[in-house]
Amino acid sequence: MTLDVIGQLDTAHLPILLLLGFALFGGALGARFFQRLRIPQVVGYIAIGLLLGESGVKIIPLEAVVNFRQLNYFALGIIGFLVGGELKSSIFKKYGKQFMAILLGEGLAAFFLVGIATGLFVFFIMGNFTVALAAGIVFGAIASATDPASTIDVLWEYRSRGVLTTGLIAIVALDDALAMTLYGLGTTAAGMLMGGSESLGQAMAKIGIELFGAIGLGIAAGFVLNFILRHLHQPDKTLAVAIGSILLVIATSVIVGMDVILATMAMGVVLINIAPRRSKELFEIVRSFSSPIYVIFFVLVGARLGLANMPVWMWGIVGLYVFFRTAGKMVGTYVGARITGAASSVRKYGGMGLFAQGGVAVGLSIMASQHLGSHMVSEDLSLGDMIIFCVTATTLIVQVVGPPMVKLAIRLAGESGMNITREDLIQSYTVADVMNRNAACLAESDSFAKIMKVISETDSMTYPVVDEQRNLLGIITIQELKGGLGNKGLADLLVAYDLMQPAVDIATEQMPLADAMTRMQEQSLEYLPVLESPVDGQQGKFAGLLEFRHTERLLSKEIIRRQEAAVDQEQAELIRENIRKKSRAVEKS
Amino acid sequence: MDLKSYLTEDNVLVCDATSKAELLGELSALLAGSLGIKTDELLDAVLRREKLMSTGVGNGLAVPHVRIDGIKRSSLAVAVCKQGVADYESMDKQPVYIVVLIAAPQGQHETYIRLLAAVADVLKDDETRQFVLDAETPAEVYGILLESKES
Repeated sequence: MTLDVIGQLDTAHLPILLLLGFALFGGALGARFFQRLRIPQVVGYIAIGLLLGESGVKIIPLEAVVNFRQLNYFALGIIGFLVGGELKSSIFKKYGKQFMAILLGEGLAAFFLVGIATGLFVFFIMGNFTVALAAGIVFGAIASATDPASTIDVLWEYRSRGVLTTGLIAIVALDDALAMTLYGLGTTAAGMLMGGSESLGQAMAKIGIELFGAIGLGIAAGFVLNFILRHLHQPDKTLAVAIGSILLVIATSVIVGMDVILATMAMGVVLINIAPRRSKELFEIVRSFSSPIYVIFFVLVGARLGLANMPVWMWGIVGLYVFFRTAGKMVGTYVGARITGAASSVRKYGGMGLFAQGGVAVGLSIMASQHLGSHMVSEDLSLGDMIIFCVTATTLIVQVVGPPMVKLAIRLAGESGMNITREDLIQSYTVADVMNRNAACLAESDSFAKIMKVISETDSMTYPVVDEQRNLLGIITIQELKGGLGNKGLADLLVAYDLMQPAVDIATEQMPLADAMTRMQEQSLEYLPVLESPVDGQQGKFAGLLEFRHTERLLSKEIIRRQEAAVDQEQAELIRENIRKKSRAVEKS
Repeated sequence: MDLKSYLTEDNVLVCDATSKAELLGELSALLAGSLGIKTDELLDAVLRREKLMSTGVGNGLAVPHVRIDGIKRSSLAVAVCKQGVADYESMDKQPVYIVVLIAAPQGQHETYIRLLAAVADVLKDDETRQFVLDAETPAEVYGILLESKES
């Protein structure tokens, strides 16, 4: 019934803003739902896209998806920029050789395994060698790509940090370039085999422009943006200037036909390396701005995937593609890591983190369909359509399987949750986790002399006054004691009861720490007395004291501990690597 | 701090009370009347505070003091007991002759402490205490207390 009504809507002409609203709202809801199931949020975005798009109720029709292509470039450009921001030169110096080896290992292994398997399969079905070879090359090239967006989204969602995380970021960022190269060479070769016109030399020149032109543009834009930011002393304009320059780089890349991700990535790399401190803040701002764009991007990825009308035998290609691509990524990563002596976590779990495929794969398949669309594999199916169908299906599969595998990989490597910020940490605590349970308490009949003794023996600024049942009666702060100092006669007159004041505000043990900290900040309080949970509507007993500065210290300490743990892990891997090298050298001699 | 703002002549009492209960009752009635609250309310608060620790600080002086809801300003009442109150449980275990009751609103913590300090300052002086004891009328007591602050 509902579906009928929706079916009658002229969905192809819904206002764009309404579609964006659906995509954002639905995507966020989907993400929340999948997060509940402990599945990375990006899967939720895509699932909602499937539901709203071609494979579902068609609220977001293919036509609209095509109209949104510009937004895809925007999303990819921002992803590239943020990825660039993760790539400090020190990382390249330290791991450059390893990452290149792993990148080539996993990319080429996936390329050859998928290429050979799908090529042979197509040959058995069609019996046409050239079509089979062309299909194999294109599938292989597309298989080498990994989706940086969803992979990195998982790494950020789970606050991952460590050598595997760094490796995954560098590799997914760079293997788009590898995929483009393989694809460019592959389609040219395939086109030539099938009687196309472009020579290998022309193809190489085109790829050269696509890749190196993009890098050159990005580097230039990075220097320009840095120059502007250095002279722009208005923080509120930073975001506009940054997004503006990212958009200009994206547009230039699209117009000239260069790789968008590579261009903005080069820009990010330049910024983080020539002005690390200034640009760190910039990357934070851009990242917080990017969230709704991501959501729309991934929802549209899902909406684009049409799964109807696929011939059954094509599922054979899909199966082979997914299986051999997975095998290629795992084996290739292992071999690349082994040869260069990379950390064991990279060797063991790196391949698992490289399954996801998304926009780039679909984009390459659409390009392939344009390049090879005129070649028919059967009477009513062109090679291009076959590639689009298959890659759509495989993308869906790996995009659903990929992100959870990234999550598993970083969890197994112990890197999940290592890159936590103060805000994340606060969110994860309740008041009970950080409050001081041993706060020195006073009784209301304690004399001034007794109070002074307690204060001199402890280092608090605040002293709760409680009765024998530990019910909170009031609070004495050092500030308020001042009036009683230096007057002997007065000191004899005062007990805690005279000096205590009612607590301005109180917290309970199970209150989220974030709430309590906000309340303290809003009221400029240095402390909050904490009560146990109320029983039968009765106010709970005094449990402890939440002290602002003490809590801040605890939070800083914990953040440093986690950061050091991540660094320790990296260093331990380096030491292990050195030992391995030395033992190998000893074996040789 | 000027006691004049907190003490009126009407709130000074020269009495014959000989027990703590009787004395605090009379003094509370006097101060409650001028503050416009019920005597029992003030007296209960005073007795609750006395239970924690006696406010008889020795040398014949006691300064009962409370913070109490429902009043707008801090205020004092003074009683001079010619015969002495033996059961005040003073620190030096001697009878109490001069009693200053202080009542302050909740939320005026600073004024409250400063008022306590001011009273303690004025009456720590042996001579002033003797003058107060020798005075015959409330007006005389009032005059001595204000004068001593001025000197």
